[in-house]
Amino acid sequence: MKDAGAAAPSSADPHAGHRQAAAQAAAAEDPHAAHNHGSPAAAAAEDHSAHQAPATGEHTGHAGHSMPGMGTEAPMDGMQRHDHPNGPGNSSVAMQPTNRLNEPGTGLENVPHRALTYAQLKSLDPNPDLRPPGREIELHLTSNMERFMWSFDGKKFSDGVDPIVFYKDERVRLTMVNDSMMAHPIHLHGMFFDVVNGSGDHKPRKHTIIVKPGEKLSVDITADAVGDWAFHCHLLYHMHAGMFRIVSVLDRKPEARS
Amino acid sequence: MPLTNITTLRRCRPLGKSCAASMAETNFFVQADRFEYQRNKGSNALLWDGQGWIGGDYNRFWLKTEGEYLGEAGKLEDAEIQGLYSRPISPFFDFQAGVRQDLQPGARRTFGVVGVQGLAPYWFEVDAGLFISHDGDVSAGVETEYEMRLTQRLILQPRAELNFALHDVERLAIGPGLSTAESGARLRYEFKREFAPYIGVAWVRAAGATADFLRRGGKTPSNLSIVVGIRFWH
Repeated sequence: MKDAGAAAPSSADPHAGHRQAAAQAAAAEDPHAAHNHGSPAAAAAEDHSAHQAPATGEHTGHAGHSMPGMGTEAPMDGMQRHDHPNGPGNSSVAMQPTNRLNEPGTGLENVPHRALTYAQLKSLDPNPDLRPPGREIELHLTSNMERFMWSFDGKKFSDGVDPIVFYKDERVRLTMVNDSMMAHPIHLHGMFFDVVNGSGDHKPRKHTIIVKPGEKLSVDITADAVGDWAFHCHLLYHMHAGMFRIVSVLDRKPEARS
Repeated sequence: MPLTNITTLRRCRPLGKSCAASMAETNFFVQADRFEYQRNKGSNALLWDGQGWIGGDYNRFWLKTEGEYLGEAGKLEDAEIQGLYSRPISPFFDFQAGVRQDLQPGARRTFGVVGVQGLAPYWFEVDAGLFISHDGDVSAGVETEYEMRLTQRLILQPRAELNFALHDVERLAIGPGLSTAESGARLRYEFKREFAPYIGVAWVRAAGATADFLRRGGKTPSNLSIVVGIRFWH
């Protein structure tokens, strides 16, 4: 079990609460504090580089289930949301999307040499924006390999999809769930994102991240560049087949501020 | 309310579609699944079985053709061509509907066709169709292929085809029920994925009333041949 080692409370499904919009929770506390899925004692333990902490708790914008002040707000049904269209363009669904940042990748699991993982990556300098994300957007990487159809949320770009909207200077968490059986290097133009891998204030800043099959990972984005930016799988055959979206960063109108 | 530049872009309408939709690709595919010389005791034949499609991910036009030319008799035994509109109904299956024309002399018939084609569990490729001729004769056919990858390049493909007729068509020696069953196995070597010569065996058997028709005409109802051919696609 990839999440073994996390001292999760017995009743808590390690994946419970992913669906939560995480607005309050994330704003309330540092989202990466609870690496161990709710064991309060471990919340203080920041240094995870020594042991490749499997459960780095990215799916917890809502911190641990036992955090004071949270109560039992986190939904405990444990089911991953899959409400994107399930037509011919989407032939597979990840039944239990998990954190795979500590895995080196297909074929490198048993090599005799050290293979580095995303969980070991940290930035040298502290992250410029340390705010917790104000909202979370979940995006599914979907496919039908037999037909060579690749998409986000079951819809190809040419199906006429809405852009993903951010507001200027917003701090957003983008969570990606890979429902396909291929690893996809997902690339965002115009902005860097911080990979939520348990590195605290030193999250690695990247613009492309490989999402492994069945993986669920989160990146925090500070939308500092107004405009329409490309967001796509960097396997260009996939991009060309529809795995493409536009990320629109808008100037926030004063009255739209919530 | 336009949110962003891209909303304006989506409203631009070249050729009546939004710009995003006009970015959808049109692709095509053609394949000769069997293109072979068949030989059994004393007779030989040339057989072809090809298909192709053109279109996007959701709407395609398919063309399928199949036929057999008898060497000694010097005549076209079977020849058919189907033109179908195809639409995916599930991740692995397409629904197809269209027209089939049989071209062999003496048996020219036109049919309406509905069918499904796709990949069934355990990697069986399935192509099934229901045919209604212009005379009202109903028949159906289902064929399935399976690929056994012995090595990366050497592939053994067993194949089976069953044809049924609801009505009998005496002038064409087709009886009701299962009319013919075909099976075969072809071993191909893919020098390139797109080009693979093969050898194999093919067995055709007429059944039931169709077999009776044949026997009355002095022919044997079953036929086993060695085949040599090429499978190619683009």
